[in-house]
Amino acid sequence: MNRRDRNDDVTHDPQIEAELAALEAVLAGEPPTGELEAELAGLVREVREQTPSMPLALRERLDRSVSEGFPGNRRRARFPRLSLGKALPVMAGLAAVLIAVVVASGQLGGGGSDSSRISTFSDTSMSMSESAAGGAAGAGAPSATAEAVPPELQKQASPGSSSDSAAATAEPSAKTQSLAQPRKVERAVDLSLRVGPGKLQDASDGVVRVTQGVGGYVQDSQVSAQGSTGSADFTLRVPTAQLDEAIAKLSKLGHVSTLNQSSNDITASFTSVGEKLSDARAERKALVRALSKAQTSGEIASLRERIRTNRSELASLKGQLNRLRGKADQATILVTVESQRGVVAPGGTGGGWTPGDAARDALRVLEVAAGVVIVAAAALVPLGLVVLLAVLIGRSTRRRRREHALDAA
Amino acid sequence: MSETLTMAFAPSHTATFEFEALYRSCADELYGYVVSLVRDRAAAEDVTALAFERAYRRRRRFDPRKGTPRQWLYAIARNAALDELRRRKRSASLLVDPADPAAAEPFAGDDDDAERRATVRAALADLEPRDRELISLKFHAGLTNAEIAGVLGVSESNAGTRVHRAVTKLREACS
Repeated sequence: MNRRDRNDDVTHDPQIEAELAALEAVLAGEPPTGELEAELAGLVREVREQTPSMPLALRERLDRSVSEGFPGNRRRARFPRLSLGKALPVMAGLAAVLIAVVVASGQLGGGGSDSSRISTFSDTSMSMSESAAGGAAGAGAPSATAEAVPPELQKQASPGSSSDSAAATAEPSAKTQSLAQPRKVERAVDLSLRVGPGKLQDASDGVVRVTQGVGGYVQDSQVSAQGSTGSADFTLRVPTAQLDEAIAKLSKLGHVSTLNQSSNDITASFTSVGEKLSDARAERKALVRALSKAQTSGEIASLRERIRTNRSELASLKGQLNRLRGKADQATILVTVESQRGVVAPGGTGGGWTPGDAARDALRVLEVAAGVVIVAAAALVPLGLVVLLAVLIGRSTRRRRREHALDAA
Repeated sequence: MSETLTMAFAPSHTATFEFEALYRSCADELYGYVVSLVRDRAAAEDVTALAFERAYRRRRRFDPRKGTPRQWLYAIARNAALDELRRRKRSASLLVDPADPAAAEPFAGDDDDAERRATVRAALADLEPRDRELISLKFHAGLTNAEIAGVLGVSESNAGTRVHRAVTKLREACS
């Protein structure tokens, strides 16, 4: 609306209103009631008489086109044109589905919690020396470990253990003892857990709690936190009989990224040291008996020297035996907890896709979709405004040119 | 006629009106309106045909909330006519409108009537194009001021003022 239009856009004065009303009455076919109406009626009649009638040829052509539906446009009519208002929701829906598919595939393929854990496990070399399968600790291991380790990992871990050959070499010397006494097995576990941001302290507390719960203790710990992320390293000592229970509980504190278990059969060493200790004790008894029967001072001095040496040997062997017994009775667990962004909270140790996982994935999809929408909006809104402005300017320009064409006619 | 059409073509937003009924109701008036704009009967035939074709093609996009079908059709015809005027101006093939032989034909009747008609014809020809358009929309097509406002893209009050001004000029020219 230009300036002249705005000036015209005023309330009519009564005379103008009356004349317009009279004109409307005349155009409606009402009989003239005054001089003005009569004049307007005559003017309308005379102007209408000037109206050119549509040529017959045009009339026939249009009649045919209208009745046939303008056949020249049928091909175009087969492809319905989508208006912007209809196309936008369709495009938005398609984009949302595309985003969901891409994000979901990303979650399942590489970023999912369970799949990540499985792939990490498959890459992990698990050295489980299970030559001491007959031992008390070893016998309980497979069943208890199954709670923490997915079945497929157990399948991968069981064959071809690296310590099998070592166990085989130790077997002949220990064979005579294997049936007489339980085997002594040293076990060690290296466990790496991942937790979400801000969960490091909870996980660390959980590690201590689990350790104490199974009767063990924290031998060493080191926690390094930076903001909501960080890492913690623990060296735990737990009773070997409670090792698998401890692993199962620890695995629930976060996502298990790596799990290495190693077993070392120390039965032979234990037996050897035990035998040496028995020999040393027998030698001590013999030396003591010989000392009681010694006659000369030289003989007595020599026996006392041998007894002193024997005492040192006994102490050393006792120490070795205690250390071996400690290795067999107390397993070592090295736990590393890492708090990282993008790690979903742990939801269990099973390998299946649980409803919790589905909910987390759905939330993640929504988060990513919202991010995409925000980024897209940041780019498209200014672009859309520019396009809208261009369209408005284009319309205005075209309209102005059209009006100018009428003025120039 | 306007009310009848409005009622007949007042479906919901998604409904389509009956195009053929619209065509039957205002084909002659639309042609007269286009002639008043382009002032060339041959061009007016093409423009009228083009206007109906465009209207048919866009009939599903008609939105009754924005006006009546007649108003919508006349707006399409007006744009087509103005585009034709622009095209003619660009090509510069017609610097002066050719004399319309049909308009020059003498009317049957007595001399006073003939003189009166000649006066009206001359008055119409001397009107500014915008005023002549308003007279055509009001007298030939019988559009309401609201419909004229929709066709011209102005307010109804503004359309009324313009109509009054054009009629006054015509009355003065004919007096």
